[in-house]
Amino acid sequence: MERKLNAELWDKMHYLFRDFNDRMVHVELNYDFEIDVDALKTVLICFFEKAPVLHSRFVDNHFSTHWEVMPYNINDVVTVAYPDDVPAAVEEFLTQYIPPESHLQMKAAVFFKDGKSTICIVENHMCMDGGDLKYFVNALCENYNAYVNEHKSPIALRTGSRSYEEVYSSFSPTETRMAKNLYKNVCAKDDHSFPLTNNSISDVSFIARRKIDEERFMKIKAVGKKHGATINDMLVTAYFYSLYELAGYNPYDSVTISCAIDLRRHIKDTSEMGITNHTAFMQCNIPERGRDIFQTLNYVVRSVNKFKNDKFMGLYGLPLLKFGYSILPHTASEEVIKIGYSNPLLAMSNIGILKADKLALSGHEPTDAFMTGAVKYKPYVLLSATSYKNVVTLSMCVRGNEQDKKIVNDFFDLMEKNLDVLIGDTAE
Amino acid sequence: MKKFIQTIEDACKDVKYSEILYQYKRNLLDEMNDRACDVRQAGLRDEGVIEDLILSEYSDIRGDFDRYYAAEKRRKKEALEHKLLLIGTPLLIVLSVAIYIIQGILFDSWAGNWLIIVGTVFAMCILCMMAGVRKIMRLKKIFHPIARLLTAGSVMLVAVFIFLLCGVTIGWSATWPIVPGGVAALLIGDLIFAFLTRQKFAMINTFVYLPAIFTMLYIILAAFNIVSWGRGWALIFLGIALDAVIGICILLNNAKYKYKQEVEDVWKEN
Repeated sequence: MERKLNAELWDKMHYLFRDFNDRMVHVELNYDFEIDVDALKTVLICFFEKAPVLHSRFVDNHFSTHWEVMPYNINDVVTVAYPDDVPAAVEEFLTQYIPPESHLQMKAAVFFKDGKSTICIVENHMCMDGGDLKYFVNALCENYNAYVNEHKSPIALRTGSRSYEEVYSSFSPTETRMAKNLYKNVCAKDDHSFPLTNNSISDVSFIARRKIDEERFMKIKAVGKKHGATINDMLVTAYFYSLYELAGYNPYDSVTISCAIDLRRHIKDTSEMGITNHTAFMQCNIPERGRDIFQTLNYVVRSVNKFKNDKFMGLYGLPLLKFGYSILPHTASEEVIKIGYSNPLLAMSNIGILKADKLALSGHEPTDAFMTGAVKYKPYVLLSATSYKNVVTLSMCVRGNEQDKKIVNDFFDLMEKNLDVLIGDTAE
Repeated sequence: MKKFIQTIEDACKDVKYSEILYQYKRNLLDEMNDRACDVRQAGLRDEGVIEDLILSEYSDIRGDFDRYYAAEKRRKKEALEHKLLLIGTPLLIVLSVAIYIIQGILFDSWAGNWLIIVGTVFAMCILCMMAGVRKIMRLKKIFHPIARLLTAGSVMLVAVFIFLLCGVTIGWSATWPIVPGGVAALLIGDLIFAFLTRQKFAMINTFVYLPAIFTMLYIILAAFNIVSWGRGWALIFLGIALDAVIGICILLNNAKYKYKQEVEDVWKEN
């Protein structure tokens, strides 16, 4: 019998983002031993059964949308290969696109070389965001270990509601009502963009990365503390400052970067929730570049703190979106929402810390781990940041050409340079 | 499969044997076996994991049985009601025709007796419509407007019967105010239905219906000379005023839940 799942609000929103990005979220984990592929497949089947949205196809019949659960075979999910050039194989695998109409919404690959393994996972953002993918990967490792070591069935994955309304679940009735009355369009209205080349049909997806070593990471942390700033604030500051330099914006121009925020901060207990999206954006806005990077940092801290002090941070606009999708057939709703929605040209997503102990398989911690967001279509860009063992990986996924790759790498050079300036403050 | 059977038996061990219990257990076992086939096709080979995985999807078998039992009981009751309605309706109509003929012959009075047949037909129609409403209300909200139409139709049938009854007993000239009364009753009935079943846009219905209900009230009261035709129209404005009062109350109530938006400050500042 045909099994259908509800298309939740964020599923529809990410579907709407098809004009701006490829909606894929990427994970790469490197291990210094050969993992047990059969065990990994067993865990993945159990997880796919626990989260059927991962083996469903998205149905848009113009009037309404839903997920239709489809049969699958794990061999279609997991690719096992022994490539000579692992980084190239990883890049090729990670930059693939899974259409929402596909019967599978997640794919994994295991690459073996010289007794080492690399696990890559690509999934459709419509199913879950970076926050839940991080949980998913942690649970995958935990269940793998329990299965391999104790032969415990790998079925410990959260199941439950995928509704956006879960963000209200920890609120009092009065707070819920207040939050549900936040009919406000909080889209970024800023024309400043990343200086990439024009779109071309020969553009291909690529993931540009840059690592910030442990020593610098610790210094960033220390300087941030001194200025009342988080690591995220420091990175956003360097992002802003580097952009002014790279794109040649007028220093007196006000610029906005949309920063992803995890709405799970509003939920006290997530154990009864299914894997889903709970990410919104806050507009981090600076009035001008400032005379130096420290003034930029002040602007950033001020802007971010205003949001942090807001009890309903990130919940603005949700009732408006819900209303938009409720009153009209799906296609008409999309058109109406597109009128009010403007996708941010500049965005940042700090996925956060990837914990080595949680990602360990059979007692082996990953030698490196990394996660990043979707491949954005020009002129939109998203800077992702993850940290693993105190090493920060900055990444930008772009559909572009060699020139764009160079521009992004120049941007990373500027980021590093500006972070060094910030760090220099500690030495003074 | 043995683990499935054992788990089902353990969960239902305190339940007295019945056909419903057997049917539930049979269906559940079939469902579990189907699921096991699905995951085997997906590539899972470890039978222990298959069993644990499937059983984890049925964590509350006892509670599920209670719900199944209640649903089965209700289904059987409704099936009986439907049968009674199906057989009873033509029988009652035939019976009403027989009573009409017998009474007409015995008392040699035919005028007005046809109400027995009309009343029976109407009553049967209302019963059928109410059964439909009950069924529709269990479906998705998108189907609820049909239930609202059926409810409105039932109210209208009652009003029509009262109109016919009054026409036959006290004369047709004085009965016409029952028609606007019926319309008002229909709107009130629909409003009650909308609020009880938490329909979308119930409040908008209220704003539209209130002036219409007061217009009908004006016509009825004026027809009975309780208010004059000349001044009574003020009642219509009373309906509109009531709308305004309700609207203001809602706005005042909503204002209590308005949150000062910090986001706005950031934008203004810059």
